[in-house]
Amino acid sequence: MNSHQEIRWEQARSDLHVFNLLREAGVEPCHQLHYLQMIAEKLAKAYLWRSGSPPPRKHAGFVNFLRGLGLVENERRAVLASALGFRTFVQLHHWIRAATPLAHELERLAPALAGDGPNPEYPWPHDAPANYPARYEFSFWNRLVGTTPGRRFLKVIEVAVDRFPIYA
Amino acid sequence: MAVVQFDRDRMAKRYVSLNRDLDPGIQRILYLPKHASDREIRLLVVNELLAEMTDDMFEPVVFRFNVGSEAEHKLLVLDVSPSQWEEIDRGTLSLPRGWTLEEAVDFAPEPAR
Repeated sequence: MNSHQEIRWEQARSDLHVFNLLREAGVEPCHQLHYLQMIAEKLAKAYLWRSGSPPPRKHAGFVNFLRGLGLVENERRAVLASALGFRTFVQLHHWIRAATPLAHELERLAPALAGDGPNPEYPWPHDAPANYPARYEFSFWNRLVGTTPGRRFLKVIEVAVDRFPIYA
Repeated sequence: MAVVQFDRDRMAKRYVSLNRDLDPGIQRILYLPKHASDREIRLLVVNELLAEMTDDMFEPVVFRFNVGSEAEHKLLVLDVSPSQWEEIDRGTLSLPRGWTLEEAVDFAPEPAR
């Protein structure tokens, strides 16, 4: 892990800590989703810094992170799969395929990408707000709670942060 | 103001329905009320599309809802593959500490019409 990665990973760890406090407190899903977004983004940027060059600033980090995991060199596959809690790289690959639509959806919730639609931070639509996040039922949240891929998504993000130094 | 009584069994059925509606990989869901607190809902979800994980990942995912209100409760979901379910059923794979299949309510697949 280089120093650029370490800085971003440390911030992702701190965000994960707050995320777990929010989960423990059972606060409105919008706040939990906001932190989940930040964790995913920082984890992705930490990983993508492994080349030594800065990753793009745009919100597409976590999907690229998943793609990068799927393309890892053969000799690192077993270590990566094990670090993320999978028995084999093939099983990790299956998970990546299941998780990628969720990653896209999480990224699209960011205010910059959500347009005038639901996002976890600000009321919408911008010019005539009629909804606000704290009282909105996010379909993405329902998928995190109500599907096996959603729950697994949460679990893998958590271990991906905790065990980042193993596969960075 | 009317006080809403929390009905754990009813809420468990709502979570079962949510899972069935959203997740095509689910084979069966067991609701495990025995030894759970009055505001704790334990579900064991058998999913045929689940990639098995290492043993240290074999633990429920926990969600808390409505903290501080009359409807406060905790949802714990343990996702398992069909082969892990067979092992659990045979007794060769242990459930999380404090969990038991005694008095389980089995939401097996609906018969094909």
